[in-house]
Amino acid sequence: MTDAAAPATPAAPATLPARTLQRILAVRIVLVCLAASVGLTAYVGTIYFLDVPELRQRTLALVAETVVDALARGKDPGAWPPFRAHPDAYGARVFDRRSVENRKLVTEINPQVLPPLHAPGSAASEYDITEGLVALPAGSAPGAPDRWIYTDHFDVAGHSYWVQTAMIGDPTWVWWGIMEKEMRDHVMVPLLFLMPALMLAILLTIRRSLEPLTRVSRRAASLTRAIESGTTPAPLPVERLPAEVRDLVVAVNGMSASLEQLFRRHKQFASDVAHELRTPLAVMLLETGRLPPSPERETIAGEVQDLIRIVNQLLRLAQAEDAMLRERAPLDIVPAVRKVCEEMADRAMASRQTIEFDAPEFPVTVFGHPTLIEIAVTNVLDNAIRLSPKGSVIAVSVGSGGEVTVDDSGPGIPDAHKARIFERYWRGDAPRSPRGNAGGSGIGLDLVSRIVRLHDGAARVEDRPGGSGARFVLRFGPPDRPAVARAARLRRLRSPASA
Amino acid sequence: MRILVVEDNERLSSVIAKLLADGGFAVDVAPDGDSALAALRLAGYDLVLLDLTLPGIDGLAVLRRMRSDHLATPVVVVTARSEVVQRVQLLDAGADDYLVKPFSMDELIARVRAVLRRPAHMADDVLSAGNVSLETKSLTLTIGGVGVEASRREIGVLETLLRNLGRLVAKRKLADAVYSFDQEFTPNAVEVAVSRLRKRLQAHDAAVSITAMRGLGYVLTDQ
Repeated sequence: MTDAAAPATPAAPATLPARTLQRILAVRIVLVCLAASVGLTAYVGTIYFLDVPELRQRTLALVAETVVDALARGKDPGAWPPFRAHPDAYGARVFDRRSVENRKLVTEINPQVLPPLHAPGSAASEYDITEGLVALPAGSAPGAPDRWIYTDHFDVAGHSYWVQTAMIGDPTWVWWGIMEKEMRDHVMVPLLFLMPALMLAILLTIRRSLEPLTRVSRRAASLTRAIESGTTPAPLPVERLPAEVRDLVVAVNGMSASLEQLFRRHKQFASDVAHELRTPLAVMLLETGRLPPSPERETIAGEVQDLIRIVNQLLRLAQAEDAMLRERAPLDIVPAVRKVCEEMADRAMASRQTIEFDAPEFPVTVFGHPTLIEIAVTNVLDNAIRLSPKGSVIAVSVGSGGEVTVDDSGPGIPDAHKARIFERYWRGDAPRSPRGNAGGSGIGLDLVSRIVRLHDGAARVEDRPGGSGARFVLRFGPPDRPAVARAARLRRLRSPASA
Repeated sequence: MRILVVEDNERLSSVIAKLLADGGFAVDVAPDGDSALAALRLAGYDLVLLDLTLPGIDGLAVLRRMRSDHLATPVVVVTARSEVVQRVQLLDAGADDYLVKPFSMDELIARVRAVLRRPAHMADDVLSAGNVSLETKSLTLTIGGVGVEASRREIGVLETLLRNLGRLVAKRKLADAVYSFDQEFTPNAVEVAVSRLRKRLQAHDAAVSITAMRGLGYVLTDQ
């Protein structure tokens, strides 16, 4: 039954949660940085790989260092696994450092790989002990792999030694170790330090650059809310915005300003028209009163009354739309509803009807706006007075949970129409009025349901219990408030006195 | 009784003038604020029916001018606007009552009579409805020309109801009337006084009746 009062606003379009520009930029830039790191590593590796003599020299220098290291620690340098595994590929020899003529061989590993050693005293060959890297074919056969020889001197425990290392090919990929070390020392480690700093700098830059945009978008939400509720929207800030965004914001500001003006003019127009209509209506009302009694006079008088009602409803609508802009606050609805009953009492008296008002003696606080609550109750009470027969009683009561009940003695609402009666411009097929004319503009109950929804409440209509007529229940506030229990207790306490 | 109708809409002013003339009043019409003020200076009126939206000086300015010139003529303001704020503003500016357009003939006559009935604006200080009349100075009640004894509380209630003939009088207003006679507090003093007054009126065949609106107040109507 409360379906009628369910929000009629269209559901928000089901879009995926949009990612922020900040996040998109950050993710993309991090990915680009990672790609750049990989690319840089690959580039450096390729450079090393392509420079064969350099790689060979470094490889042999590493072999020499290994040998010297073993000697310094008094171990057998020949125990190095590549020497053992590939005696035909890696070799080394160590001389005591003296002149070529007086040198003394300290140790020799896999001599077959090394160039032959000249006997002491004989003339030295050009490769014999040339410091640095030399490449020469490994054999006399054409196409034989290069033999690389590297000679350098090292100090071990205060003595100077010459170390000569040689290799034919590199079957155990000793060069890979070189590459690894080079990469680690010259690419990975710098990147490891540089990357986080760079990313942090980038993130901060993005955040800083997008800050005005973020500010604008945060304010944009309030713009929409202002336009929806009809308040004057504050223009979005334009200062410090990049040019392309500023143009957009200026356009949005212009649009919202003209929209707001349009709304205001529209509201003012409705209010003005309704007020302008009141003077001619007053003339019509007074002039028909002066006509001699006739069925025609009754018809015209009835139509004039309907017109007056419609104008009053339009005015209340304009007034309500104006009031909806104002802030809601906690208020006691009992005086507000009583005031409406008092104001409508004279109208009821004109049809010899009486209004009964029943409310708790303690305040019933709701979070709302008094004008809106008064307008909603007035609209329902207006219908009740119009549709109830002469001499009947209209009962208005305020419940402790913030609901207002209006019981009339009119024709009631058929079950089929109960759900739709709060819709705008819906008036039902069955005439409700005794005059055979519904006389409603179809805006009164729609406004009622809008107002209760604004108060997080609901409106419904049911049959008047124990009699003919309709019962309208307007709940101003969410259901199941704890106040109900308290109210019941208070009522029990008071019941003997209030009989 | 002479009434000045200040209204710029010619059709409305003419129909109001005719209705008031039918009701036994002498009526002059002023179409704008300036002529209204001029008319008020020239002739003595018992009541001014003042429209708010006028060409030139508007109704509120006319009202303020009247009050600053110490012109005490009662004023019933006619307005097309029914906002509460405006009503309060009008009463503050010195209006005695107001009528919201569009109003019916009965409403117009009732409101004019109600304002004229107020003792401040009357020579004889008598409130009456139907065959009931109340002398407000000596507090003597007569029904059908016969003097009737009533308690001070009943008289207080009747006086308040008579001043608001045909209109709902809130219970709290009646309570003020009752308690002004003595300070003794009883929660249902108003109910008791009204019920006694009702019986008394019935017993003397008064041509008025009191309708109760439970939770709101009472209305006195003449039949």
